[in-house]
Amino acid sequence: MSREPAPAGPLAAGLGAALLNLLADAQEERSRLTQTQHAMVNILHDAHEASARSLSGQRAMANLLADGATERDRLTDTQRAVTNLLADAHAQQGQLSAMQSALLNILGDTEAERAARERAQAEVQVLNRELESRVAQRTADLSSANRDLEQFSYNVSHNLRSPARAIQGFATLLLSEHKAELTPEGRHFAEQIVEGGREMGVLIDGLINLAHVAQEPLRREAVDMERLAEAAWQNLRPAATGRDIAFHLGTLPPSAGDARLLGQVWAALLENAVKFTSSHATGRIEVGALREADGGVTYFVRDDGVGFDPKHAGKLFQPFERLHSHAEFPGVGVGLALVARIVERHGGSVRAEGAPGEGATFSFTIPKRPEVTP
Amino acid sequence: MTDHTVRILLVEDNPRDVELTLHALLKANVTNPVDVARDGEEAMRYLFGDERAPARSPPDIVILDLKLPKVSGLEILERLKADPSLGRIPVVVLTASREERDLHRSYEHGANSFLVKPVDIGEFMRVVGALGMYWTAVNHPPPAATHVTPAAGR
Repeated sequence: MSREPAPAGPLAAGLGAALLNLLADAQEERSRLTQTQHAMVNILHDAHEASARSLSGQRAMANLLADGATERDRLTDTQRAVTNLLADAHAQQGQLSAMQSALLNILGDTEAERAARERAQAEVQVLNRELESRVAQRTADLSSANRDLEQFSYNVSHNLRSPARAIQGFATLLLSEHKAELTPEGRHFAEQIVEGGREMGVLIDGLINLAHVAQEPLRREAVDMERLAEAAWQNLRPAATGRDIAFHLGTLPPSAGDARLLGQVWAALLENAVKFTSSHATGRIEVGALREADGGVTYFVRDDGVGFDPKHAGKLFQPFERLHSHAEFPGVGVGLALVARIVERHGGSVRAEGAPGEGATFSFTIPKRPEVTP
Repeated sequence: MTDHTVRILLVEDNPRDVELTLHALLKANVTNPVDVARDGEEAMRYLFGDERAPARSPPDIVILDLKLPKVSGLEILERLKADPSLGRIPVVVLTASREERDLHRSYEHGANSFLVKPVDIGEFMRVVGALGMYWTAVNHPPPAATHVTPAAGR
């Protein structure tokens, strides 16, 4: 504001002018004040508005803050949940690890077990092989020992032939050449020596036959069994002299094997049949054969003689086993043992069926391809 | 039959078998002379002689056991049959052996007969008597061995 000095009179004039100036100044000042007031109001208003805005912003902030808190809480919750989940996961992982290690252990065990089993199997195989070779060795030893024993038995039997002949021979000569010098008792004694020597000779021959059958190499040829049985019967005719024996020879299929030995089988079986029908004046002997399903043939000799108790059937084929006394039926009990040996060497088997007083049936089976046993 | 008396050489080591054999021959009326050799060596000496003594005049028949001490019956048989002047003498093997191997080898070596001594004395008398009768009275022996030369052989 500018203030200019008023003229005096001029004094009044000057005063008036000064007053006017003052008034103008005051006016001006009031207008400025008003403007300032306006500006202030505006500012206040603005401030108010700003305050209001600030308030709402503040409120929004608060809200935001509250929201943030909630969010944080949620986050915290989530974090906790995640932590829990992680913990769970960790626990599960632990469990999994435990399970895995358990599985690994199991697998390890299984592996160990498998290894152990394989080792055991290998050991068993080794043991089996050892056992097999030991059995084979033992069998070979036994076979060899058996052959030695048979050879020994054969040699012993051979060497006993001469003394047996001497015993029987000289006692016979004593009886025939010096009968007159002997008392009746002396003759009886000499007769007993002859008889004992004779029996000894038969036993020795039986032993030799058995050893012989076991030792001789087995021939393999086509064998006409019907012809062999017929021939064996013809050879026995003198033994059946004076008796009425009906002999029935059926059709016999041929066999394969050792004809000489199989001939001995027929001879022994027929001799047996003649012997054990001898308590009757008449007798019936039947010879036949049955074909087996596997191609083998079972041959049989059936008689209607005294038969035997089936409980002794097993003994019949043992050497020197007799089911009857010498007085009833003489013999040394080698015939059927011989039959069994010969048939077994042909890979076959023997059977005896019978009942006391009801006759007996002796049968033997020769397989299609006889296995030759040493 | 010939006028020549058939002389028998019995080669047998068992004295009781010798006695029973001689007895069986007599019983069968075989009264021919019998010389006995009691082991293989003695038989060889009888047939072929040695540094101490020459061979005896050859027998007309030899009854030969196989199982003999010192020299076996089969060795005697082999040597005898291979000999140009003695090879034709009939040899009867009379043995306890029934082994097929002995049977085969005896015939392979030229045995003229093979008999197994029966254990039973009755059988023994019959077999030995029959062999004595056959070879001394039934059979015609070959011409005396001294007259046989290798060239005359087959």
